[in-house]
Amino acid sequence: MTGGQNGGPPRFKLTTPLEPPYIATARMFAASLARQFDLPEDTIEDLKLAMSEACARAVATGGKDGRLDVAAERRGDRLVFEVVQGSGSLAEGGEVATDSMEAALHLELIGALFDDAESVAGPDGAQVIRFSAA
Amino acid sequence: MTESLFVEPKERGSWTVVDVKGEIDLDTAPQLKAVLGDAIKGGAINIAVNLEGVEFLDSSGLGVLIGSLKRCKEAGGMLALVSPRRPIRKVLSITGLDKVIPIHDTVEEATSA
Repeated sequence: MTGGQNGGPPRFKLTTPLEPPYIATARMFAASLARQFDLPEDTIEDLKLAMSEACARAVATGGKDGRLDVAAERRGDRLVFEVVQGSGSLAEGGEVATDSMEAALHLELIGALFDDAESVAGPDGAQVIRFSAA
Repeated sequence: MTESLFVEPKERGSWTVVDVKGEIDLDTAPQLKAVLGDAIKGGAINIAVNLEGVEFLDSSGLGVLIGSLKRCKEAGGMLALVSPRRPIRKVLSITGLDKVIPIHDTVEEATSA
């Protein structure tokens, strides 16, 4: 956890190797924080799915520096999650990338679950998938 | 990290029932894909995937189910799902797969359809 000491909202970070087995760790991270913030169980299930899709897409796009980077922050009454994506094409390499239907489903599912889901440029230029729940 | 997925196929009349327990994601979906693929290669054309023990399923798992459904249909058979939990029913609904893959409450219902 970072921040929170000088007025900013606390920011929670998870960094793991960019490997499929750690996607479950990211799901647990999201679920644990959501429970800490008393989000409803149905919302927590949605968060787990969105996190899994965002992380699978990160793996498919090569992530950044070989890491899976996930962050969460409380903004007002919302819990905001960010998952750093790679710059690789979903059409290149990787088991998931060979299945274009699955690749398209990642973003579609996240968007269907959370209206504010977006793919934006992160502070260091990496693409970030962001979504939030209340 | 994801716990290992439990996947066990068994014969039930003209159906192959595949019991699955655990979480299905990018890490574990290949296990399910391998078992379903082996069953289809072995001649199974009617497959009921029992999801009662599945706690989580994402698009990696959906991809396996869709691919297996396609292969079963090409062989003149069918793939059905049994007893998915509420979050998994929601994923199936969002993606419209609940309109494509029959969903049953029990294995008996699926295999007598």
